[in-house]
Amino acid sequence: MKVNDAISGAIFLAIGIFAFVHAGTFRTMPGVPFGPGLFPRLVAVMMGLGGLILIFNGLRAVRYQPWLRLEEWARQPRSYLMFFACVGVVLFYIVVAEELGFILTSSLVLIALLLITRGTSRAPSSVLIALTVTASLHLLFADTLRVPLPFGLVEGWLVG
Amino acid sequence: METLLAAFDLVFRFEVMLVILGACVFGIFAGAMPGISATVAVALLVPVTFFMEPVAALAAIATAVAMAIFAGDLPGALLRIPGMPASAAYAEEAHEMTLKGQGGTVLMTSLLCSVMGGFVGTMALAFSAPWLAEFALQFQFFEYFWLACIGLSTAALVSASNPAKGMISLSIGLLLATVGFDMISGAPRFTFGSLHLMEGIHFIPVMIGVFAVAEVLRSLTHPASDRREHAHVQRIDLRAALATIWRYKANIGRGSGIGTLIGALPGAGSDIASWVSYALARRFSKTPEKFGTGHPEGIVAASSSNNAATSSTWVPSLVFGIPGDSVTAIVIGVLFLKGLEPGPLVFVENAPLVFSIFVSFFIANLFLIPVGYVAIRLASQLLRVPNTVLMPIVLLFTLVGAFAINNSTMGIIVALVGGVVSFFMQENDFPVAPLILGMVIGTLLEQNFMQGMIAKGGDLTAFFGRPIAATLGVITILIWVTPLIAAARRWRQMQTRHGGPGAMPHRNSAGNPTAG
Repeated sequence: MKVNDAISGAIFLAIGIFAFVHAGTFRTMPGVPFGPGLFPRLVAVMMGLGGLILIFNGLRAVRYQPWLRLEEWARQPRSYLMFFACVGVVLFYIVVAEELGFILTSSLVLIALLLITRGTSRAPSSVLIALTVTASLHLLFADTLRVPLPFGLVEGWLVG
Repeated sequence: METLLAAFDLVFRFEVMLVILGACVFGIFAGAMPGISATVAVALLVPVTFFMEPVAALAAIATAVAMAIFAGDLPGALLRIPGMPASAAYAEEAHEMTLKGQGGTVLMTSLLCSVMGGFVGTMALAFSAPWLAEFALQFQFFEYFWLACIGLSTAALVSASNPAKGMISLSIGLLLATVGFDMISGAPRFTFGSLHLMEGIHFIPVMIGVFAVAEVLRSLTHPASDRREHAHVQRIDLRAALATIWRYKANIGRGSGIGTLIGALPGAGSDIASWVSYALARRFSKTPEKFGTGHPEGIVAASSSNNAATSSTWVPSLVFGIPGDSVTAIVIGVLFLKGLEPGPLVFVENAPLVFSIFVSFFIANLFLIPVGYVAIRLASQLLRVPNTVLMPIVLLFTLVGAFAINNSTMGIIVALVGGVVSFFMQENDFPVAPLILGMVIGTLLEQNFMQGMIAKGGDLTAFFGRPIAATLGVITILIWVTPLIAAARRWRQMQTRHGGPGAMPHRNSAGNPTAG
């Protein structure tokens, strides 16, 4: 999914301008001539400059570089399904993991994602993979490295 | 000598050895998977090393990288899909040899060359680093400022296919590094009143997102062009492999030397080393016409070269705190997390630790022989794991890893945002390595810059006041000016040619020629 350089350039020019203006509001220490905004401002100038170059290049090339070009993969609905499935399961994990606990959430996330990537015909092996991976991750992070992964229903059974 | 003994004592412990062995297996597996580059492998490994002692953590990273760089040859030779950019230079050639039935032998050859290259690179690292560190002890913030500039500029301007895009990527990283409380004035910056942002943005979740999450998205949305053919079990003819190595011993020497030198440059790493060595082997060959038809000469040179470079990239990182590539950028981040500020002082204050890194590189290269041998035997099974299974697992691993750093969901959000942004950046040919580099050295760069400015009352000439600083400053400015001159020259050429659609030179996203 390629956009014309002028578009990405404009986005970064805008971010650069915003950062430059916002850096002016940082509280400075009295008596020190160079405040905390100086370095971010220099970086913002650099970003804006890069954006300007891209806008210039993109506009000059607009005849043969379309505003939006969809490559082979971006014309297949399956690619969008994959993309939003990945983003979706991560969001799902963020929202429910604290409630359901790691083991249940992780199993659900993996089963869902594997069913999407491999198709429903191979469901049994997908479930098996999901459970094995969840167990291994729990073993590695929670039991060995002592990371306090979200505690929930299944963890309660295991402990109790 | 005492430090060396102390280093041996640090490394030869049961836990450290166990960690190295684990990192070996992980590195081989990750390297053999075409979707997982050495950088992604390290990004996945860092959350685990986060909980280890510094020696074990660094040994794990060093080992995993050395393994992964070799393992990238496996799918390259057997399936013609390089597992790693560093293997791309000779994947075609190695595949030709597989078609002739010499797949196992060529992999064995490249394994032994990798080991030898690794040894040369490690020797260079072990001998040059302490010596350079002594020299670097005289440096002040001006020198460090310029060194950081050189490291960042080469990454953003020289290695990127489009310097403007490299510059933007770098500036994103530098801005991200400023989020949180300012070190000098204590003022909150870019926090927008959020408590989470006041702590600053942790670089590990960003790195996990930018490299690993983006790779999951990329590889699932870009399905492989065809069903992967199955790799077949390959016969290994050890005698033939040794004979090849003996015949092309000069190439091993040259490849390792070039790899070491290129690796030590900031902004260039094993993939460039491998391309250059392959090209030079062809140039100096008595039979250049055989290249491309399954001829081992170039493979010997390039596979020793890329492993030599993996060790020597640590030179600028350890000595100056300026990373040579994205892997060592991550290493520097890890060092900071462990409370060790990389730079010449580490060699004085923590010499055994630094030497233990050298020792672990040696051990890693020794382990590479048996582990690599087993990997070649098992390659046909190893390469059968499809991306549709692997990538969901990697995604879940990134979730847990990003969470584990601060035990907060914030890490997962950062990794997700980083992954999506990085995915779109890479789609539009923005390099992402400068972003991570900028984020890691940003703080150091700003500190040295501000200290220099405040100490000299804003006198910019002070940045050129000392001989070494002036030299480094001039080099930096040359790096900045070069793309401008190149652009001006292109512009003039286009004017003379009346600038038609075909006049703009197109470069591919990787910035170097692709195999196949």
